Amino acid sequence: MSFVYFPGCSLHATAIEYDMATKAVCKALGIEITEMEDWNCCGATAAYAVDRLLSIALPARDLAIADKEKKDILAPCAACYHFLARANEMLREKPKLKEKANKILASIGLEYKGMIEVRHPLDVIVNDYDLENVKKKIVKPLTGLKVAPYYGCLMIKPPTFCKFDNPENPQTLDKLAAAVGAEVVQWQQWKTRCCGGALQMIKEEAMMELTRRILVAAEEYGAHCIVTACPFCHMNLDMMQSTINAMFDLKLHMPILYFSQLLGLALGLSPKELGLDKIKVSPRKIVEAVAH
Amino acid sequence: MITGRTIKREQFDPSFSKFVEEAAGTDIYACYQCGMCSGGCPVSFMMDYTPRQIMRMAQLGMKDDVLSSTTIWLCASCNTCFTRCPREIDLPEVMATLKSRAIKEGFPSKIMEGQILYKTMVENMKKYGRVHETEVFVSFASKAGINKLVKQLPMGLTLFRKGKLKLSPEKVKSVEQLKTLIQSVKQVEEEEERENKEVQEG
Repeated sequence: MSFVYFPGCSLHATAIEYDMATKAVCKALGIEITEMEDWNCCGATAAYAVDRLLSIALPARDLAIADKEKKDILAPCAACYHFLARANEMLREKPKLKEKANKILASIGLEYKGMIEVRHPLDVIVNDYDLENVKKKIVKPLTGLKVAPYYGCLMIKPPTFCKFDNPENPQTLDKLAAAVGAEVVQWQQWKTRCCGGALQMIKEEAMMELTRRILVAAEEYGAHCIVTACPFCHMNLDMMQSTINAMFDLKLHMPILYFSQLLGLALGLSPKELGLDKIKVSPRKIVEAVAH
Repeated sequence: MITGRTIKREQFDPSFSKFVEEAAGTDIYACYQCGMCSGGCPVSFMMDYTPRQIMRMAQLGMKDDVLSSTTIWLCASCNTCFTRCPREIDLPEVMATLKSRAIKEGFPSKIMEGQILYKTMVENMKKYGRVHETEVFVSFASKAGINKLVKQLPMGLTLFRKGKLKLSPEKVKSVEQLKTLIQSVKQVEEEEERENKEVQEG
């Protein structure tokens, strides 16, 4: 199993622990990854909102690089995964757009062929690597830990190009959490609710309300932590949690873990190499419980 | 605020509907106003027009009302509407198209932060090929007002303490190649605009 790894901008900065944990987990499982040579930003929701063609041309360069390496892309960031998969789908479905993109790519000596797939590590680990094989490598089962699997939006919607799970009641994270021995919180109506994403900068009140609802729901369901696969969700749920507490007079203490951090703990990797000290709302209790 | 009774024919601009349809690449006329999009939208409670209303206004070509709406900036591109739309209309692409047109025209809005944020991020991408979050954050706050800076500062400090903010930007190795790519995008867009104009002038 060998992939071109696409970290994206966040995983090299505000989501550095997601990068650390995902690499460590891939290594422990024997999934071979090599960082894409000179990758560029996927364009995210910004290029999407500013320039239609640029929002295809930017990811098209990355897709063309992967085409050259003849390997599927592995993109842990939900936004990178979404926008790379979107470009891949649109370029395959729309011949005129492909022609335009290739005219642009020709100016830098590249060509989009559409030979590779964009994959999410959650999909690869649960479906390709197979959970039965994951279970064989678990040395510290997370027994007694109540996990709220939170999928957010961009990794599973729309189903036209985010194809690996059900967009309304996804199961991949649930299955992974159960496989590592945790108790999975059944909160179907919440696990795909939007956290507000970039509204954090645009209209803070909107983001605060959306994120508050998710955090409160997780607590009401008795979760010990929320597990996610998106740097934007993580930023809102973790970094903004104390602000939400202050604003709504709450006393939430809900650690937010990336899925690879949760899996890493069960695989016996050290909290340090999983970047668990980078989380604002301390997961100390969870880490201590695993250690015993 | 538009209600059913106040819509006037003068507000309709068919060329705008055509633009939205083509740029978004989805059939906006397929919408039969069922309201599934508004029902599932997590942010509709804060919008001046619901997504369903925006769709109807887009069909009618009510350019000024659509581009000045808060709706387009509050859309978080969560894709719930598109996932549930019985007519399979890609509403997030419609919203993004409307955002891009508003940005291009510098259309005044009650929520200017959206335009400022997305423009700042794209400028940053064009400069480095990757987003330097620290610079985007500072640049956005300086343009959006001192309030934003004050509000965001505690989080910025926490991120910095946790070693999650980079002071210097990470760039692609081939900055020149990136410039050429962006230049080519511009060229193709200009060619298209010329062709569209010629067709219109017949």
